[in-house]
Amino acid sequence: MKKIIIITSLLFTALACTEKGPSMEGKWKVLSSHYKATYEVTEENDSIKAKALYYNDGTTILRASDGKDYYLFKKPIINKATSETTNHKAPKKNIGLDLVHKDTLKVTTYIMHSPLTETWVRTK
Amino acid sequence: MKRTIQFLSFSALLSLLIIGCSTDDVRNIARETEIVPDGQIPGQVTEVVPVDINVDGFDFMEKMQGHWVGNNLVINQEYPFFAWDYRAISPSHTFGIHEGGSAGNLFTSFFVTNYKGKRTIMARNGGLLNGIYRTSYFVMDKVENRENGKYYRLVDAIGGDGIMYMELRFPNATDSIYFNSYTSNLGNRVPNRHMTFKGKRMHTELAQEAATTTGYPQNIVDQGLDFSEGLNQDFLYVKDGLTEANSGTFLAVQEANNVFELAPLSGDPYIITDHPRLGYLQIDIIRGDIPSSQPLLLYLSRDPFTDDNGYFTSDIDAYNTALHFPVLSTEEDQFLMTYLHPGTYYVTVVADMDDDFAISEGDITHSKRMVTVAPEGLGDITIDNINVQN
Repeated sequence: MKKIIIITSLLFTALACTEKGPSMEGKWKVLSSHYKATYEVTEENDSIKAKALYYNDGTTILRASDGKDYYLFKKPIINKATSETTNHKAPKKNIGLDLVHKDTLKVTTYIMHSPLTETWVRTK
Repeated sequence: MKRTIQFLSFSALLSLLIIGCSTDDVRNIARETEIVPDGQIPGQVTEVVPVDINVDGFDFMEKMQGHWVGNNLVINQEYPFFAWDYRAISPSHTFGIHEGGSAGNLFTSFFVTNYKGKRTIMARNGGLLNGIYRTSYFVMDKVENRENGKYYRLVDAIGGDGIMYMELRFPNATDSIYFNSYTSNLGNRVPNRHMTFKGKRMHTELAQEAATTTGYPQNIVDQGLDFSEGLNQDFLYVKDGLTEANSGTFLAVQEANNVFELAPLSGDPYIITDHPRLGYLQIDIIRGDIPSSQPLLLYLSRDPFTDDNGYFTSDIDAYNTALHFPVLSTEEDQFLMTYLHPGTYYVTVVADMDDDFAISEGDITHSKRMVTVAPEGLGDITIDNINVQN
């Protein structure tokens, strides 16, 4: 009887784990004093995209209604543990997404190998 | 004992499953980030069509003058305080530079010229960084009267907006500026945000005095800045893997960070010694008890940052008059300020005791010191008695 209870508990736990944690999908507003942006994050077939719904740095303004799709990133997910991949030339930095809360995303992007970490908050 | 082992095994397995679940929220995604319009090819050269400033755009020269005080995001480096000191150096050339100190410097100047059969405005953007001298030439290709202000774009003179560009917007009825640049690492990616500066025009008498002295702005072309024949292809930097230049960029590299040696080597058609009015200031620092490893913050400002006793002023507005704010971080005791507008400056050296790269309690400084740099002159000042802890 005890074995049945233990096995059942493990099965329940395993089944629960097959569901992903809180999803990153949705609309996210960037908290920045330098520009305004809202991105829509979608996941599909092991890839993740962040499409600009609105971007305004004071001179460049992008809107979803512009007729073009602009992506901050549109990449396959390649791993979950490291922040670098290596190739024959040099280590190359990736984008890091860390869901610190269901409504708070820490996003690390790299420009010229320099990291910029920003906080995004979920918006309607 | 058996029950204990069973319980521990169960707990361990459960823990592993839970840990396995919790790591699912950290994602790392291949390749660098970029704002990419769907289908665009990274680093593609695009056609450059200059604006004719005889039609519209010459007003940019009037608008650009000023001490622009605000904040900046350069790649990933946030500057809560940042300033550009744009003053005329001729009737048709205005110049501003960020002197970073040990890290190097970065200037952008704007001038009237001829390019591709048009009377237009071009920019020289570049500087010296770790023994690398770079100057890139840009051409104004867009002028727009928008609802939210007047907008100007300058693109790489050879590669166009596919290689790099800068955008400036002056909101209506306000003395403010948005000044952004977008780069592709000379074609390695679609240009993305490199610098994001916004500021307000302050201390207008500095630029006004320079404009009055030089008769600025006029729609004429300075000696050495007429590019009606284009940029000399023989000297343009050609990136590895390419057969011709994809950018209006001149480059030179050597171990010593010496602009006077590197500039002529680069083939840059207009170099530091060609600039009218700009001078130099040699600053020598006697550290006293300040350890040689302690970074020094150096300020050149319109108003003094310290009083006669060496304490930081309580006049908050004085700090906004900072015109240059280099950091000496590599055990330096002397520094040559280059490309300096002539005028009178207060010079303040701050021993940054808490390494926060900002003026703060505990930092050590000195009584106020002033120096004047003549047009095309070399000033010098020695700062000593850095012994007042705030």
